[in-house]
Amino acid sequence: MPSSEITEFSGTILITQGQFLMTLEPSTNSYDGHQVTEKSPVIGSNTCWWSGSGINQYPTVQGSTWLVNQGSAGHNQYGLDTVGFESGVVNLIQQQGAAHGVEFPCVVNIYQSMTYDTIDLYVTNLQTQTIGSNTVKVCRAGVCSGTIPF
Amino acid sequence: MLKRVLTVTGFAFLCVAISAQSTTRPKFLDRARIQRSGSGIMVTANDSIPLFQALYALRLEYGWQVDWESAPGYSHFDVVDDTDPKWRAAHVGEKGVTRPAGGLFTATLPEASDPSDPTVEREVLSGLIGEYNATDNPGKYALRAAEPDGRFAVVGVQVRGESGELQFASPLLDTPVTLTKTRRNVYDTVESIFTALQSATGKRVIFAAASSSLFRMTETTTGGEKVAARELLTQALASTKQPIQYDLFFNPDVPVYILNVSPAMREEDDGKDGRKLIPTDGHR
Repeated sequence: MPSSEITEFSGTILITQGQFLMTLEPSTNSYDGHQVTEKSPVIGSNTCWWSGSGINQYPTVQGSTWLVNQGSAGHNQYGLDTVGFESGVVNLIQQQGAAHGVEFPCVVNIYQSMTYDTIDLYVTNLQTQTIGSNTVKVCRAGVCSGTIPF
Repeated sequence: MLKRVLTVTGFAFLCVAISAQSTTRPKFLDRARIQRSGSGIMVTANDSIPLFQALYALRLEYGWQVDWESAPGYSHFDVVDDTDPKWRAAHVGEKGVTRPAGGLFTATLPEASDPSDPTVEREVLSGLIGEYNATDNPGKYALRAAEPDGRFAVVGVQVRGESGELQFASPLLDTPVTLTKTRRNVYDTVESIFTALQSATGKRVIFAAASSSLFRMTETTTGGEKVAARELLTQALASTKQPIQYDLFFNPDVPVYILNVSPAMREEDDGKDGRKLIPTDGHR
C-alpha cells in the first residue's frame, strides 16, 4: 500500500473550483489498477455560512473512488479531485455575506481521509476554499491554486 | 428609599437588556441537541430554519438518507431582517438582507429502535413534522416517499402571505421538465435539470457542492419527457451508487434556490472526546 501521496494543482473549473492530480508514494511500487477512496472522518467547517444561507454549514467529501492510472492520470496517479464551490455560490457569498455578518476572507474546510483498496487508510488531507471579497484560493493538502481574481 | 433605588436600578437594567435584545441578532445553536429519556428522545433546535437543523441531527444520529426542500417563505411573516449592525452603519440607505424567521423548536419523538426499518423512520419523521407544523415557525411541511427506493423527503408545502394567511406553495421540484437522455456526468446532469427548471418556471437554482469529484466522474443517462424535476434529480444522484441526499433552500433576497448535496452518514463518539463520521448506506 502507499505511504503517502504528492498533490499537484492541475487547474480551475467553473472559475472558482480547483482540480488536483495525485501521485502515490513510494514510487518504487506500482499501484496501477488499484482503487483509492475518499471519506470524511469528521464534519468540516464553513465560516462563509450564515443561518438561512442554504450553503452547507458542515461540508464533507462525497465519497469518490478513483482507479489509479485511469483517464488523464498516469502511472501511480489518480484524479482529478475537484474542490470548492462553483462561481455562482462564491458570488452569492461575496454579494450577501458581509451584510449577514460574514467576515472576509472566509474559509470552507473539508476533511478527507484516503484509503487504498477501500481498507487501508494512508493519509488524511485538509481541503480548503478561501473566499475574499474579490478573490478565491483553493487548496488540497497544503497545495494551492494561487489567488484567483473573482 | 432603598427599595425605590432597587426598583429604579432594576428598571434601568431591564431597559438596557431590552435595548441590547433589539439591536443584537439572535444567538442560535450551532447544532440541534438530542436528549434521551426512557423510550423517547427530545430534539431541541434553534436556528432560522429549525426543522432542517433538527432533521440534520436526526440524519447523523440514525444514518438516514432524507432529502430536504425548504418552504419558500417570502413575506414579513416568514422572513425577518438579518442585516449586520456594523454593515448597516457603513451602508446607510442600502437594501439590507433577510433570513427565515424561525427560532426555537423542540420535539419529543419515539426512539428509533431499529433505524433501518422504514416504518420506524417514517414514524419518527412524521412525528417531527407534526410537532413542527403545530408551532408558529415559518412554513408547513409534509413527508414524501419517493419510488422506487422509498427514500423520504421533507418538503415545504405552505408559506404565509403578506396578510398572514397560509397559502399553498407548489414545491419547485414538482415541476415537470424535459431532459434529453444523453450520456453526461452527474454534475452536468444536475445543472441541466436546473436549466430546464429555469426555462419552465423562471426560477434560478445554483449548485452548492463544495466537493464534487464523484459527480464529475460518474456518468449517467438520466432523462425523460415531462418528468417531475425531483424524480430526475434523485435518479441522477442514485447513479453515483452512493447514498447522496440533497437539501434545497430558498433565498428571497436574490431571489435564488440553492441546492447542496451530502452523503448519508452516522456520527458517533470517537472515544477521545470527539465525534467521528461513519459511512452508511442510508438504509436503502
